[in-house]
Amino acid sequence: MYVLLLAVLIGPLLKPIGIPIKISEGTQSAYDVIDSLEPGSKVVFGFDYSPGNAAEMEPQAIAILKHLLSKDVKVIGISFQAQGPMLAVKAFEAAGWTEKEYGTDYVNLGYRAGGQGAVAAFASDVPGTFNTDYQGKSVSSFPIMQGVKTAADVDMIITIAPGTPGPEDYVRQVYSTYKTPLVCGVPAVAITQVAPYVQAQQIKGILGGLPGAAEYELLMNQPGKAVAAMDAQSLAHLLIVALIILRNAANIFSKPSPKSQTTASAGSSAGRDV
Amino acid sequence: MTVIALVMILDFFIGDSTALDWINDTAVITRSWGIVISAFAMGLGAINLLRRHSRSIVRRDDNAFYSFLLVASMLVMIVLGVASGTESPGYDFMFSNILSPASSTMYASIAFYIVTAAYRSFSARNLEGWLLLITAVIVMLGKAPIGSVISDFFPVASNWIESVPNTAGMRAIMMGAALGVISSAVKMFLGLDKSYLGQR
Amino acid sequence: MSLNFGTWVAGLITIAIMSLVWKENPFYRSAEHLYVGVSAGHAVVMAYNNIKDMAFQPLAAGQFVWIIPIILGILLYARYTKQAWLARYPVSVIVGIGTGVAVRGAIHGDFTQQVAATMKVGSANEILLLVFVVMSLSYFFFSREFQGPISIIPKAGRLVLMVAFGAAFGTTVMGRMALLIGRIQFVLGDWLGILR
Repeated sequence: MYVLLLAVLIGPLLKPIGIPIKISEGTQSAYDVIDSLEPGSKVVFGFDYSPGNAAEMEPQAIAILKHLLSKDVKVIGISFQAQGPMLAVKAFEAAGWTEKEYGTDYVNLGYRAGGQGAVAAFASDVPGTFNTDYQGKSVSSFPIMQGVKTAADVDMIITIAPGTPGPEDYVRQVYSTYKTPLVCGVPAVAITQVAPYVQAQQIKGILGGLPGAAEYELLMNQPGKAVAAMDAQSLAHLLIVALIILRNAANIFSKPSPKSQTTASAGSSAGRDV
Repeated sequence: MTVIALVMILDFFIGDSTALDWINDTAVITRSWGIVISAFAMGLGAINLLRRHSRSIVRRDDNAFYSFLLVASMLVMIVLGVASGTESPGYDFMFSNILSPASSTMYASIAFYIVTAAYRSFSARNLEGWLLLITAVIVMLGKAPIGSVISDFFPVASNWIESVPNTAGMRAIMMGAALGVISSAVKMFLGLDKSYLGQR
Repeated sequence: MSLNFGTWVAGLITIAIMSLVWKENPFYRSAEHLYVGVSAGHAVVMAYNNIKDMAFQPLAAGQFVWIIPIILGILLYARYTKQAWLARYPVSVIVGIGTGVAVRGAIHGDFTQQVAATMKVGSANEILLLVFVVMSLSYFFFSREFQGPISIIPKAGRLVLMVAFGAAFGTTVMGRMALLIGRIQFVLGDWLGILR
């Protein structure tokens, strides 16, 4: 079974099939909202993912950062996840931001502990919560931070957040009070959980998992790792569906047992990574 | 606890009233203190690990070698990070070549168990089970590019499932959880729940 | 094939942890303990930087009020002493902050705004959404039993919840596969150089 899975995943990576990718509504909304930013706008970018889910989240972060670079906006990087600042450095570099001026065009403010409390603290007092950048330099020395006091003073908040704190915490602590437009990148596992916020327009656009990253790369006309992975993703889904059908075909054609058990033991939880 | 929580809640409802500015200022400074205290709390996990694994090393039990690896790597990371900073080549090496791949692979391994479970356990025996599995199949095919190649039904159905029944179900759970948070908070304010202090 | 030492270390750790799928072995256990140690060390370094930047720096600049959270934070470690009860004070502060922000966030973000969004009915889908939300909420109503014809409402709500869980299950599978694909891309691409 494991060999079959590996074959299904490795095959399309070695020899791409080229299955066409359709752009979903959520990704298109996220792209349109970010595309509407004026040059010089200030965007807070939350690097709230860890290496454990970087395979899904990093392509999203890089694709969006490339878009922001092309729009000539200013990016304030923050993180409420301990490994976030190190991943932010990598993402900024991969997206080409190191060619811009640090402190004027972009900045990496590092990590703050405390989960939802820290998000609330950031929303009400940005320079007080992030009083230094991730290297310990005072934020008052950075031109990009001039005029930024609360979450209301930035034009948009984009967070790539799989766990805690996640999009829900930004909605509760930032959007509820300051109405700053929110765009989120979430892992596939969290798409269903943030759907109510998207429907209520508390989140303006959403990238869901690796397909979301692939769609964004296509919208940017810069296909990367996410697009390359889509064939393998498709075949993996087909494999799982085939196995589920095989397993249940036996149920359909077999006699019902006297004590019928309960629903499918789904195995995976709907919980998200921390 | 109650006083601090009430200040946090009241801060939300204060508009531009200058007479009540002190609530806002208190809330802002208290939240900042919370970050510092939470940072101190992060050290508790490391201390627990040190205590547990140091005992293992001193006793030279079966896991002594692994405990030594754990303690040594933790101390090296701490010394490098505090002395040279997170930008130093050594720290970056350990983060990028040990922590990152290990963390990624831990999560990635779950995919193998999903395949096994799909064949052995994902079996529907009643209406709810069938509904769950059929929905899962539609969403899996709808979210991947292959779905639209097989039929336009899958992406359309998947979008509808996500935006209507899924949103409805998750919204109901979310609203119930919100009411639960409020009732738990009220119990804590009234002193009926002291579990956070380690008391029953 | 990469000649970078770091990439080789990363590759070997990837294979070591993946080997658990076959069976538990010393390579997996070594990699696992290395990961836990490095991860804990990183958390301590991040915590140290937080305390240094947010508390010690302003304290050194003359803002003596920051001695309070520093003392409260140190009191957390009283749990390892005979005066373990002292640790309750900082815990109370953290729980108070967390409870307060959670309550206000829950009331507004998770309740009133969600109710408002549900009540906006225009299209057929929005009407269906309202109906499904009412059905799903009724499933969690335990104060009184639904009897007679209206007992179908919570039963229908259960079916709506099953659809929601099915969607969650489908996306969970999608997510886990993506993580494995990421690892394979690293092993075959960045490490062994087979993928272009």
